This record gives sequence, C-alpha cells and structure tokens, in this order.
Amino acid sequence: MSDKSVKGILVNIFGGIMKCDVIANGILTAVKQVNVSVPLVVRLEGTNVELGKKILKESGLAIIPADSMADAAQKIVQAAK
Amino acid sequence: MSILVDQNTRLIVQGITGTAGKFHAEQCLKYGTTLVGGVTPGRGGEAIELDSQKIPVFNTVSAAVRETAANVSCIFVPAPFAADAILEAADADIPLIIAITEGIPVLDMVRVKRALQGTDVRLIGPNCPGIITPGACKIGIMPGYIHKTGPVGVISRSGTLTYEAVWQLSSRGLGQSTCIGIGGDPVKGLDFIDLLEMFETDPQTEAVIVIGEIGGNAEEEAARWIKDNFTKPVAAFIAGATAPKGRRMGHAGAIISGGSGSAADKIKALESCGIAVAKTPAEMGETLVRLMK
Repeated sequence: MSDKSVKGILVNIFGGIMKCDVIANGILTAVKQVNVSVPLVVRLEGTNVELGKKILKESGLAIIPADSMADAAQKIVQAAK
Repeated sequence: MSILVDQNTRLIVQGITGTAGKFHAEQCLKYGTTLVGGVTPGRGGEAIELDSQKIPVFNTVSAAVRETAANVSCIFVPAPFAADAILEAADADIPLIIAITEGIPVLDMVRVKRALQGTDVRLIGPNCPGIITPGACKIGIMPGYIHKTGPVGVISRSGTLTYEAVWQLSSRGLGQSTCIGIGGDPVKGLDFIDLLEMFETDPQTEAVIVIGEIGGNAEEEAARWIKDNFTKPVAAFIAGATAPKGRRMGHAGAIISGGSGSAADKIKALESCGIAVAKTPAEMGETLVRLMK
C-alpha cells in the first residue's frame, strides 16, 4: 500500500500443499493489518477450497471473488479502472 | 491403462509421521490409493491412524517392503535428509520413488542421480507435486477432486500450473490418463522425454499437455524428440515469459543463464516442431481441446 502506483491487487492461488483456508485467513489478517484501499480480487481453487471461500465470504470485507484465472484477470482490470 | 501408477500400486510414505507427510498420506488414502505403510526411523512398530485405518510404521524401507510388498515410495523427508531417503528406497529395490521435498541441495541430487544410473529405479522429482492416475491412484500433494479419468497425459515442471491445466481440462469434460509433476529442480529424475516415451505406448493416452518454464533446455530437447518420435497431439505452455535474465523465479531450476533458457526461445523451439503453445496459462486446456477436435 506504500506504493502509490498500485491500483489493484490480484491473489491467484491453486492450493496443493498450501491449503486455501490458510491462504484465506492470511488474506483477512493482512487486510485488517494494512489498510487496503485498492480493489482486491481473490481466486481460490484446490485443497480446502470450500472452507477458504467461506472464510472470505463471511468476513464481510470488500474482497472480489473470482472463479478462474481468466475471470480473475478480467475482474481486477475492470475494478482498477 | 495409464503410466507408472494404477490400482496395483502399493505405496509407502517416507516421513509419514511429519505434519506434511501425515496430512498428505491421509489425502492419498482417502482418494483410494493403496497405502500400505510408512517409514520413520525410530518409530518402527507404531501405527498411525489415518482415515480411521491403522497404518504400520517401519524403521527402514527394507523392513516396510518385506512386510507390505510395497512397490512405490513417496518421500516427505526434510531436505537435509531427503537424498539419503531416496537412496534408501532405491537400495530396498523400490522401482518407483516420488520425492516431494523442496530444497534438497543440488550436490546431493548429483550424488543420487549417479547412484541411480544403470539401475531400473525411476525417480520423479524432487520438488514436485507427485503423480496421479485419476480414479485409481494419487501419490503426492495435488488436490484430488480436480481430476477426472480420460485421455490426456499431463507433464509439468510446475505444481500449480499442473493443477490449473488439469482443472481447465476437467471443466471442459476432458479427463486425464496420468498427470506427472517432474519438479522444479535443475537435477531431477524422469524428464519430459522419458514420460513422453511412456505416453506414446499407452493406449489410453490420446494427447499430451507439456508445461515447461524458463531455465535449462529440456523443453527444446523434448520439442525435437516429439517432432521425430511422438505421434499424438501435444499442447504446451512455457512459464516465465516476463522473467528478467539472471533472476531465479521461484524454482531452483527456473533461471535464464548465459542468455539461454528464455521463454521466447523455448516457445520458438516448440512451435517450430509443430507443437501448439498456449499464450497464457488460462488457455492451456482450450489449446489442447482445439487440437483434439
């Protein structure tokens, strides 16, 4: 967030050894710690994906979910405009 | 049919009492893999409960093989001891060893490569997600649910991109025969050509996706080999198109050194051999689907 040229953030994770719920909790902690003032798109797939998506959804934070890599790319470009 | 692993595979996990070893051994078991035991030196005689089954733990691989008739070993042993674990499995006559561990010193792997030369032992990895024959046997850390039985073989240097390609295929109704992550290290076991040879003679496999990345020249060699020897359609993707020269990109083997190993060179080599290369990782599945029509 200290870099003013950043207009949006895209997180794209296909979890194998890394579980999606760990990623989701990490994102929540980060968003709460650092005041994220740009659009944030998160695409999760893989190990524990349902749990990860649920954690993000129930957080009430303004995180834009995406369903695929292409969908995530389109959403962040749109949101950053 | 499939290659390397199927319902006759009898798996042991070296490092089964560690956090990653235990979690993923259970995931493999839940998928339907025949997990017959584990090895952790000093913990022999114990049993570890996975998916409400008692899995026996042995002190050595040779003891595990003697008691369980295991024929594949998957290694989750920490990096400083992983090379010895591979050699122990080879010494116990395990014909297929899958090393998941990341960070094994390159010199250790040189020693392992040398020791395996001239033997019948096959090594997959290290620093890889493992291998899966959908519906029959999953060995490694890949999420099982994304796979589907079918005609496509997948060979990849990247774990996540393997999952991405598989998911794109399965979402389009196209299943896989066997998917292999060969790992991101510069010194490793089976490479593209070894596996392409197996896919060529596997009747279930009708087409193959090859996923490479910057560094080394395995993709260029595979491209030439495919042109001369491989009769099935091949789609490819090369990761690292925007990587600066001389910077290591995540994997130990992913570095453009001395001006060679760039994505542009690899894509050119593949295309000149008649292989369809996906422009972005979001198009890997679609690129193969178009070839198979």
